Amino acid sequence: MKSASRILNKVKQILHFSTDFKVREVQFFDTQLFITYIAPLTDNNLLNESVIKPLVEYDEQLEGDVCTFIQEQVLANNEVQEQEDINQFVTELLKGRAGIIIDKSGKLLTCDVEKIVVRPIQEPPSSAVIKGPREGFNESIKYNLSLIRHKLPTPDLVIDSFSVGKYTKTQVAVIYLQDIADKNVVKEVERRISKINIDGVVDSYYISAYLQSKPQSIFKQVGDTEKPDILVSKMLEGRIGILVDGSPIVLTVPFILIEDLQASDDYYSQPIKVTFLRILRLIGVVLAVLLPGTYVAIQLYHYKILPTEFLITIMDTTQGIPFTPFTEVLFIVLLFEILYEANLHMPQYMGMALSIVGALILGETAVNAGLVSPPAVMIVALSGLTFYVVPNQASQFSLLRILYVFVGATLGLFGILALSVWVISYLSSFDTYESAYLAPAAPYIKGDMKDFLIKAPLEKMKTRPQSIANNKRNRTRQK
Amino acid sequence: MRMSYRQASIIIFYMLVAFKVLSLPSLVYQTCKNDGYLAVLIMMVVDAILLWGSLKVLKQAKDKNIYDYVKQYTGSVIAKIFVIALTLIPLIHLGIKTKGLEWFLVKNLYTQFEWFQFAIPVSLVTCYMIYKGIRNIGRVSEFFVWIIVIGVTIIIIKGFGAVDWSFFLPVLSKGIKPIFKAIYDYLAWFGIGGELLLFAGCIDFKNEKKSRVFFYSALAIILVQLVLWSFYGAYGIMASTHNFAISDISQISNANIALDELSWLIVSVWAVAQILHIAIYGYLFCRGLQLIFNIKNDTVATLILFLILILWIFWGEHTIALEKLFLHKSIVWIMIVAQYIIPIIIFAISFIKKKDKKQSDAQSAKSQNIIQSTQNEGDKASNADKSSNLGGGKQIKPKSKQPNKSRGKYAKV
Repeated sequence: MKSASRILNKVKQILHFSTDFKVREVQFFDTQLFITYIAPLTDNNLLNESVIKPLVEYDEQLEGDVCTFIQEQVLANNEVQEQEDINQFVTELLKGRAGIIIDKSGKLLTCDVEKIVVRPIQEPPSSAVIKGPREGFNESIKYNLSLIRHKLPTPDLVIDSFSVGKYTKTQVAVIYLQDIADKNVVKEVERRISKINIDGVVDSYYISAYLQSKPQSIFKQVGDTEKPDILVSKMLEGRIGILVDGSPIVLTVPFILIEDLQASDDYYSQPIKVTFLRILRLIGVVLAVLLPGTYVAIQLYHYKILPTEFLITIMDTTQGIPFTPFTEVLFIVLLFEILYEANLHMPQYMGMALSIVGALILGETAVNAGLVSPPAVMIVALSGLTFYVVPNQASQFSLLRILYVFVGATLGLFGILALSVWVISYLSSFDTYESAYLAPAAPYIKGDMKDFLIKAPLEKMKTRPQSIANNKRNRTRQK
Repeated sequence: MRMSYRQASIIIFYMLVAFKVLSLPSLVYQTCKNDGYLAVLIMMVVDAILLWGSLKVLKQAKDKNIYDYVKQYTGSVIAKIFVIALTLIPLIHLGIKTKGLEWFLVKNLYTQFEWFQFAIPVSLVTCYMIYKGIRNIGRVSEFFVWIIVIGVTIIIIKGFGAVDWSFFLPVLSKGIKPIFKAIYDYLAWFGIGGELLLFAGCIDFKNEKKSRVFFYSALAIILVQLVLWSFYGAYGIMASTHNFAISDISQISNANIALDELSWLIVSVWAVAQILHIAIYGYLFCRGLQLIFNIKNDTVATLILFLILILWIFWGEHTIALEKLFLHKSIVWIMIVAQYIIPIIIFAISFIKKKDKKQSDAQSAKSQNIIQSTQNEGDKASNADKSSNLGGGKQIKPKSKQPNKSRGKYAKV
């Protein structure tokens, strides 16, 4: 026979006599019960209504074992579980559950009385759209899963749960469509997640780092989204979603580079318009990455490329500038990055002021003072602006831009081309989760060209992309 | 890791175009004058024909490398000699290519630079691609192929504005002899059949479409011919003094000494093709090295290539005679043997052996049929015996072999 008070003391010891651990003693017929809970994590109303009140007010006859009787006849709670292990009992308390320690038998019960504090469903600031759904994920995995279930009411939707982090014990859910997702990819994702052994997971980025094949690379290897409609459309193509409790960002694998150029409203607009926008985005990325480096290369080595009138204009404006084109452009690029970073972390009301300071005061003054030339400012500004045509604001392009400036300054246009060959070669060697990173361009996959730069009408896209490993080739049911 | 059939077709395109649009046009002109394009056309068609033979061998080899494939027919010594000869081709081509790139960059586009400033990054990039394997080279080639084709086409279109078509007439005014002399002199600039055999085991023939190789080969021949017509037609008798056909075409069209803005960018695109050529020949050389010295580790082979490239950059730069090395008769004979004779021998061996194999397969199929039929008859007999046994009759032993006569009869059926 185990004494409830001894168990209670053990629980207190495990929790290091934390002051938010609360106990309510209840006499149930001739058995003493200790109702335990962590105050900040529990919903008081739910605790009172579904646990304490039924126990206190029960006045009918007791039949059989107390524990089974309470579990089956008394408690008005949807999730009552008996716990065998005291450590597991404590873990459940820490998840916001109420625990009942039953005297004499020493049995332990837990009930779901978790207080869910969540942000309301809002449009994510990083993926604002003109057309299409505006709901976004929030920090609660339960809410996020409900949003997905709501969009995918099918028994084929599978959710596998993991607890990651020694201290945080964060719930991580791997979510996929059973008959579409590739089993090997699912196995690989789950293998990697189950092998994570860290102190804690406070955001999905922690998991993302473990899902990458080349963690040291600057290129993104795991997709992310804050919107349920994007996640669902990706899952319908065979991708796997990874939800992490406490993070509104859901990870997706496999990830290929072209995903960065695709926006969610591409699928809610006219194909011709989308095709035009995608080409524009590609041009934007190329300009953003190559323009400053090419400008430096042209200024230093290939000024004959420029038409005479244009060359004269540039020579006029660059006269008297104390820096070389390389130093000048590098200075402005770094200034731009500093302004961007500061703007990101500054309170919203100051953001506008900072933009004015950056653009007008710093830029204008630097030009007037003769420190930088107007064409250099214009080139970097154009490059910076074109970054934002990419829907997912890929940060790797920003780093590449600086690398291109260095190479343009040392080896001219040939250096830029050689670096481009290297970058393409490097990206071609990325094969994450059985998918080629540069697909469908390299390797060329004819069927996937319908959703690459050219966007075919939805009814023509009858097959799932081959670039992504999946089980079911056809999207539509064969008649 | 193997490359797809499409990637192989694109690599063949790069290899066919490789040496023909930069320095070769002016060199050929010195011998053939206005018929220079014919010499290139003849050799490219010959190369394209040999290419089909090579592809047949590659397909037959399946997963085997060329050494293992040849060894099964000729024994290890001859196979090794063949592989050594085949490995010399990409080495020679690497030498020509790097020298061509040096001329193109340092003497044409970037006069203010030293060669090693380009050569070291190029060596690093190409060795990286080689280290990553043939699939990587295939993918990169696939990525850039249409950019390069469009770039070269724009140069051709620009050049066509200045072409004097009457320059090509009369055709073969000095007979066919100068054409064959040019082919013989510049044989090192041609050929694909031999070195392509080193790709044995690297191509996935799963989605084979022969039209793809045909398309890319035809595209290569057409592009090269257009460049040659554009170059000869624009420069006329001055073609021999202009060493860089692809960049010189755009100069004449603008009547400027300097390259104009668009041409610069397009010519730069050709520089990308040069890097890819070096990667392709470098890979073939590394593969040859691995087969000759039985090197299992790709890194070792890549490092050896890197060292050779670095030595070549620093040693080759200052040795003027080396620029003429590739025109030396010994090189021509090495190329004749390695690029043409050895592949033809390998085709012949594989063709004969394939025929033999077919015959022996047919033979074995025949004997299989015979055994089968014997068994069937035996079964019938045993069934009959069983029935007779049931009837209490005498047990008859089934015949073990059919007479030769009936074997022939089965074969006809």
